[in-house]
Amino acid sequence: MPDTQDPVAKNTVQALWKITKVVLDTLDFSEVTQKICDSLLDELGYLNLGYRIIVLSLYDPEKNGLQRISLSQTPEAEAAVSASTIPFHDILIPLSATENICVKAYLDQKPYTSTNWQDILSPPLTPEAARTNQTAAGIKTSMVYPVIVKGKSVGTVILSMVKDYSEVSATEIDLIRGFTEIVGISVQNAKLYSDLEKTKNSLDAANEQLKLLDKVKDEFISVTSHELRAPMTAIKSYTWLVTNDKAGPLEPKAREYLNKVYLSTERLIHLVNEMLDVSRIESGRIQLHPEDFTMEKLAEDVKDEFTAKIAEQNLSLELQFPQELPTVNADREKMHQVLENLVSNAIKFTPPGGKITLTSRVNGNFLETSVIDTGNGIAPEDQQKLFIKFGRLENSLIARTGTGSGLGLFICKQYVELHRGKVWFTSTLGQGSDFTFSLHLS
Amino acid sequence: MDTPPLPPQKILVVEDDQFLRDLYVDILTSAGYEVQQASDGEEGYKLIHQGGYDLVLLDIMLPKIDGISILKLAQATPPEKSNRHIVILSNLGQDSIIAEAVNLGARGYMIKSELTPEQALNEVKRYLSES
Repeated sequence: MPDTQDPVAKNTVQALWKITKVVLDTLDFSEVTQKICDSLLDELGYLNLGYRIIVLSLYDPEKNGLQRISLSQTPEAEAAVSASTIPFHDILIPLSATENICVKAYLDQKPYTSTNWQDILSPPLTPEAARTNQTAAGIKTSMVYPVIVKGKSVGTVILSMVKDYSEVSATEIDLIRGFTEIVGISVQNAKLYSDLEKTKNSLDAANEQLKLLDKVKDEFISVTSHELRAPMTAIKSYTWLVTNDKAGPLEPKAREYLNKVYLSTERLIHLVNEMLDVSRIESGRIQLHPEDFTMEKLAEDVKDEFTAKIAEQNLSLELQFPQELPTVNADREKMHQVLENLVSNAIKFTPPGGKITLTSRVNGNFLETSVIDTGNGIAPEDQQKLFIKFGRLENSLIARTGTGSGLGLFICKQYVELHRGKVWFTSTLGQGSDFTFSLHLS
Repeated sequence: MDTPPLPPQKILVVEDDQFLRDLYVDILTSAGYEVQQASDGEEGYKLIHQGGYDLVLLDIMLPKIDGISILKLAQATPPEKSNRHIVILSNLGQDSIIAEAVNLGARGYMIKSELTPEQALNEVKRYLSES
């Protein structure tokens, strides 16, 4: 039974609380382990009770041994370290050294005591070297306590004294038991924290790296697109000159081939433009220049562009705009691109004889504009892929004919959403599709 | 009394891509204009500074001095003989750069990859018809 007159006993709870606070207030691993070794002697006054050296060791699974982590800052500890043939932090007691009481305390999860440092330092030190250290430090007795976290040993604490074991009181033992429990918790905490820090730091670094890569990618696309456009413009322009007989009359077959060169170059330019658009969207470099305009006029412009193609594919394109539709406020050029893209898709997927309709209606504060075709429609399994970048469809004409980048609808969606509008569609396989986007009225 | 034939209008093409430069010089010469050319920004600025052109077609991305810097220089130091119009000839469809060029005194812009030679020539005629 604890002696209530013992000054240590009176303060046991208070002392444990104090040490808990000291070690839990610190999160840095090496600082915590240092405080563990110092606080028992300084803060709890164990120095006055004959305790001189506190050593914390933790189990290292890679080396399968108990690795010295920290020791108290006392003259005796310094003397022992100076006398040692192995530097303090290099001392590793292999778990195979089952005679060593550190290993015993760790494995048996109970305290051991010895008056001979051979029992706590050998191996790795020779018995002679161990005794030399002990003599240099002037230690009589050492107690080894296991450090246990959630029932599992994680290391040991060695408490070395200048007194005999018989002089150790029950209350001292009590406090030491409480102390080793706190050591377990705080070591665990600090370890978790430093792991977290390490993870956070490496994630931060990875994130920085990704940001940099993203920027490099954008610049790469921007520069290469620009560099590609000069030669493509040259090909396009010179081919145009030849097919327009500026270099003399052409054989019909030669004209047919060169027309294909011309159209392919146009497609290539379009593709590069789309890649540039995507790169601008993704780096947030899109600037909107909103103005008021009527959708009907825009639809007429788009219709004019496609007149030749519509006739060529034996389609009809009809505008159905009710009179007196209000204007919208949006970036006209971007909306031109959106409508152009939707019409171009409708043409691509509508077989000869089919019909494409452009129409607008007011819905609340929005103008909804639809491009309706009587084309192939989109299979349900392909519908989710529509607005995804490079989301080309397995069964589509695009896949079969190899045209289109799969970027068009992605760009449409981004442009409309930048205007706080929406894009959606309904489609029935074999019957056609209806693509609609909404824009704020002026 | 016969009116003497008008002297041909003078156009300067500042373009670093050799084939594109040849192309514009070719089209414009065939259309009856007097065409001069520069293949980099330094040479381009020298000719712009001497001045006297009815139209300057100015690329943006140029070696030595870029198009935007040339416009700034021309604004800071007026040419010896004034130039009627400077039009940006670009492959950069970036609104911000075009807006900047227009603010710096460019009359307008032509995006090379979007124009056929015929359309480019029509654009040139349109700019020249403007006062």
